Amino acid sequence: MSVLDLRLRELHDRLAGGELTVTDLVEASLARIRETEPVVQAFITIDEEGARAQAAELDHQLKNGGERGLLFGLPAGIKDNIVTDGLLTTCASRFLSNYIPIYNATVMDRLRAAQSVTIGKLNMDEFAMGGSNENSAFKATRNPWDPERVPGGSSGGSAAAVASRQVYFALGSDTGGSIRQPAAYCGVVGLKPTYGRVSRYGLVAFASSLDQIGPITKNVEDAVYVLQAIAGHDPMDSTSADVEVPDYTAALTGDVRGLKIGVAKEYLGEGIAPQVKEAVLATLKVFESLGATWEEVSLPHTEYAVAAYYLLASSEASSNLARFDGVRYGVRAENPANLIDLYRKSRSQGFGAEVKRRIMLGTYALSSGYYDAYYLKAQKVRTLIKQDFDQAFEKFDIVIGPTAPTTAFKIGEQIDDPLTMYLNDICTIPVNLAGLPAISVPCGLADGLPVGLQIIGRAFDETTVLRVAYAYEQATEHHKLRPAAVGGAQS
Amino acid sequence: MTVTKNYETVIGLEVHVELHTKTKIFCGCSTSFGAPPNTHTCPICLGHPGVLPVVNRQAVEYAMKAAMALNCEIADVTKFDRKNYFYPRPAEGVPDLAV
Repeated sequence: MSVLDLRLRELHDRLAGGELTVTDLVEASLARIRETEPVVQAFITIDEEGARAQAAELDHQLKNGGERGLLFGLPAGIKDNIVTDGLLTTCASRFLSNYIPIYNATVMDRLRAAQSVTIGKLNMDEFAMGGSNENSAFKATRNPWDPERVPGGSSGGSAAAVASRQVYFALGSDTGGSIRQPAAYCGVVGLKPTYGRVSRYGLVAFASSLDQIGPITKNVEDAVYVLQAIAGHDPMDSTSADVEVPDYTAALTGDVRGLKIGVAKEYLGEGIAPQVKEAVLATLKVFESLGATWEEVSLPHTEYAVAAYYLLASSEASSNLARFDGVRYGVRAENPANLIDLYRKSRSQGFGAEVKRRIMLGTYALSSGYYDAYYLKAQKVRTLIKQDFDQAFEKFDIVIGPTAPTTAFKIGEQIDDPLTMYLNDICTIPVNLAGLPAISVPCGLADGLPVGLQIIGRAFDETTVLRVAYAYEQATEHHKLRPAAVGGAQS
Repeated sequence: MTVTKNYETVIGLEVHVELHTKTKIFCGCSTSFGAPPNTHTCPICLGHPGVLPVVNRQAVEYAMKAAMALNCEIADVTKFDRKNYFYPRPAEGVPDLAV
């Protein structure tokens, strides 16, 4: 067992007692990366020097008895679309392969205040567009449970790094399931907070009305601490909500007596693998034994969610990615004939196929004459989907279902079939469209691959989501399973 | 003339005014003159990846004052539309302020 497997409180006790240093933790993380990275390939950038310097600084502070931050000394991996001052931030795109930011994302400032240590930047689908990490311009991260399979995406590097214990926790971003789906595929915990709960300042925008940063962790307790550190209003982000941040440790009770659970009927219908359905339905017995009740609930507009999402997200992306013009940063095409040619060539060379596909889709949907038929209609569908949830939450405290229709698929299996790939997000996309908080927690294995249970809550009620997730986790052993493929014993 | 019979004339004025704010419209950079080149800049006005614009409260207040002085109706809700085409200006498409 590595020191990185210790629970946060025990780890902090050992640090305080002088049995352990932050340098030990960082070295354990770097050693684990050396050992597993040839197979997993989760990182785009490993900042050994920066991490060691930060560790030395924190150790110095520890010796002098300074106050310890909430995440003191914890080795963290950061998805590569979160801007890090002075540290390469590529969004897994050729376009930004040389981009060293001159500022920090708000979440990075908050992590600094909480005193975690940034180990490096994690692989993803280019500009967060994809669900397998195969759209990275640099490498395909592999699933620690089976290196022939994808880790999911777009935060696939974040989920794989946590699953293989390369880092203590990671940050990801979730636009249509990009934290929860890879967490499910890699057998770890992934939380998408309510839209507006965590500042997006410094998150390279994909779809601004959907994007949220959140934690990927080994267990629910760690998710509580990381969320506590990064949540809260930020004057630099006009869409960050000025809503009080509660003490999330209040969720760590294990008590769900009297809780009313709605089981999303549409998330267990056609296209959901039988074993996934079985694993999710088996959780109901656990909740019953804990004193909760459940009933089926219908979210009738679910079938329109994926179509609406790909219109809205692509439209926003086409506008957001306009800034990548080759003039101020990133790659610049050589020998352009004129200015327009510079834009065209830089973008043609810098963006990968999936990014181009979505820019074209979005630009088309926003074109004069098509706006009403596509963008506006999709916005109306979005309202209906939100109303589905509003109605469900009149009766239920929480809505549950699978995180993804299947377990992790094989690398290359779906890459030529974007429509099938898009449907992997059917259970997660509605949550982004409605702006709600949701978590994926491990709920068992199907043919040796992890299955994720998704727990969806009311807006800004992360506490209930975390409470239910923690109660389930404490009542089961699934989160203790570890991928054998990267040297972990299966328990 | 048939044109005036069939169509109602509607005239919109796009008014450009330099407001005496201390800082720029979407970031905290100074608006003062005379500083060396490329000093009153930041990641936001340079349109770096990940930045978000936050509108200058004073600018909105000035614009509303001007509108009131001119007896205009003040909209309760103002929205910004981005310009989505490429030409020689920052391509993030953050527009001018409209009240």
